Amino acid sequence: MIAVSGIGIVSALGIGVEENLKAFREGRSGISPRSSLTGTTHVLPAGELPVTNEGLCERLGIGYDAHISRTALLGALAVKEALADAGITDASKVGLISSTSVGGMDLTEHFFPEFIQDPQSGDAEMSRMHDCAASTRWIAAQCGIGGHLSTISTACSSAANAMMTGARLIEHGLLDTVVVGGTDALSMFTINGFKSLMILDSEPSRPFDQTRAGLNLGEGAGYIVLQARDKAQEGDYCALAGFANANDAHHQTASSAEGDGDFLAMTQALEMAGLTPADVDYINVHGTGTGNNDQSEGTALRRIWGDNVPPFSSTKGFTGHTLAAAGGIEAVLSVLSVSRGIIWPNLRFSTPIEGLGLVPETRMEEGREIKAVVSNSFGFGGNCSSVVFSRSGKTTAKGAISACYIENILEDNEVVTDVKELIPDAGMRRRMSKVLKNAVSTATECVGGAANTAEVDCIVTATGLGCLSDSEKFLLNIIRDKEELLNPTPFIQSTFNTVGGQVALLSHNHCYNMTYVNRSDSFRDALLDAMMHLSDAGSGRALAGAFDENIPASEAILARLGAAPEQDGSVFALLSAKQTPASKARLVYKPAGKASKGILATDAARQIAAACRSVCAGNEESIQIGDFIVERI
Amino acid sequence: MEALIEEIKQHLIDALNLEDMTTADIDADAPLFGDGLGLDSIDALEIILLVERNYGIKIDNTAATRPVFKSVRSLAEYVAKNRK
Repeated sequence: MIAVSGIGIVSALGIGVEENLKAFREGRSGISPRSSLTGTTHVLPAGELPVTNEGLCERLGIGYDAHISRTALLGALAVKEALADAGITDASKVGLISSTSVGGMDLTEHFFPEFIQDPQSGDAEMSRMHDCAASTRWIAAQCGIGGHLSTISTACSSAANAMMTGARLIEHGLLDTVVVGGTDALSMFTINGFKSLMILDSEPSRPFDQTRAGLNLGEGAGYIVLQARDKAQEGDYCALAGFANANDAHHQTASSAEGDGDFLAMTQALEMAGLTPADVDYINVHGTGTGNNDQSEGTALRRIWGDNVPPFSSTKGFTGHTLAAAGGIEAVLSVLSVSRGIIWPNLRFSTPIEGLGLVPETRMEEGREIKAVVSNSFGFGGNCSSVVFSRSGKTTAKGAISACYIENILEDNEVVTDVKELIPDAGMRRRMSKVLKNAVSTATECVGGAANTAEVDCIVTATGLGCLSDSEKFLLNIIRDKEELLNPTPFIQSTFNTVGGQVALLSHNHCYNMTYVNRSDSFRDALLDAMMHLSDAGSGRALAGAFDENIPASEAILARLGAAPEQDGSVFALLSAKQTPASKARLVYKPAGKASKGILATDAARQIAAACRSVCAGNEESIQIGDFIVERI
Repeated sequence: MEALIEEIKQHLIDALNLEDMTTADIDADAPLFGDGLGLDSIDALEIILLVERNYGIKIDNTAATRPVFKSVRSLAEYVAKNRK
């Protein structure tokens, strides 16, 4: 079984489990009238931890350094607590699968105004932690974590997805102990982004209430320690018994009316846990407080539980919506639900949503009989994830990862079909930046058209810096228009999982959909994940790809930071669990233990593509590229 | 009014990146959302923004203002009535 042996949390309610518990017991919300630390001019309620970065450094026992992103500081506090809680003093072999949606944007957005005046001015070191993996690596170094590191970014479902990857790495014997979760700092970028979508409530949020008018953003971090166990040990909180990730495949930012993705995530997670819906004693819902989420999620609850929906609540009225951290913070709360019998209260509820009639729990209770809890985290790009914690778990050891077969591997310069044919949806196409079109076209041609993408069982993307031209466009919008007149399109396109989400949306594919943002190791992580999936299923096909784009600003900043220029673009691979007549090469996972140095994801994928061509041409029998061997068949 | 309609059509083409379309391709009376131009909720936000940017008019994104977005003509009529 996979035991949860430690927990760590930071939210607007405080630093550490005890401070958070105290706030919940007192019914004290962490939502303040406005963010005072990000520098935003907007007066909008926010779940901001009232501790400056200097204060966070003090709590970590380190000297203040203005170049450390708040995302990393918040994360390190929660990871340290989780490790100490699990009684781990030597973390040299412990892994860390972290997640974030903003990464170091909180620093970049303050450096950028000066940079755009003159590309040689400003403190470029402020962008050294811009990419998502930077925070993970810094946290690992702070906590003495020396095992496998990875970073995930699938918008608001990120931390739940980090748990799945961590659990799978344990199941396949690649790790015994792994810290999993997410961290996100409030930033002007996200505050203005959600404002541009007009889904921020100007009052403290009212999840699942008929009169709800949007969400409040929050910040924080939540991590849990997962350990492989033959049987439960003294001190373990509970088991991570089930998890699932499904794609809603409905819209880039809106959930389907029937809550298809939510429904699939919850039912598949319960199935993995070997539980029926009736076994669930409490649900920590995603419950953002937007009209769309709560309607859609509530519909999915009714589809699964009918008239017998178990006690449920959204805790976002206390913490705000902490984006990538939400699944981590809420996992910590869900773990406490199982171990201490806690029902968490839902703030500011008075009237059930018309037509759904769902009434969340509004009083905190402790010492209840709670055996199994579902925690939901749903995000942009259609990413829907559910995690099940229960008192007991099943044996989950799955052994070594089987080899798989490369059916096709395609680089962007090999795409011959017209983009209008590969992305027939004009509405989707017209919003796409160059890299988005490039990546989605490459993915679609790799599988032989959108109709074939619909048949794929797993979609995994990898990127170092994501859709940079959209990120830059939105950042410039914030700076030049002084946080007014904000265009939502570049904001929604700037999420790291946009490519994966658009591939799913184009083919209406509800399958597992994941995005790794781990610098030049991103594609390694994507292939590893796809191979674990194929290995577990023993059949089926997976689409794994890498994409990145250089823009003049990123090239200038990276040059100032002393980084070597890297090639951008897209590469996608179609993998099969079983050998077929189309198979081009066999792919074997064999860790080489060598650290890679780059920032972008594409180059590692191009190397695998070149190796595949070489063995296909009969030039070589096998070639090791990083942690993979490409073999001739 | 016809001049304003033409102007708004061009703003729509630019703001929504309606590739390969000219103002002549847009029927002023066709629905903007759903079957007509096939726009969605994100486009609605972009349209609110272009009206504010170009005409200094703030439109709330509520059920009450929905008729404004029925077609290019209804949008032009609203702009003509409310512009400063």
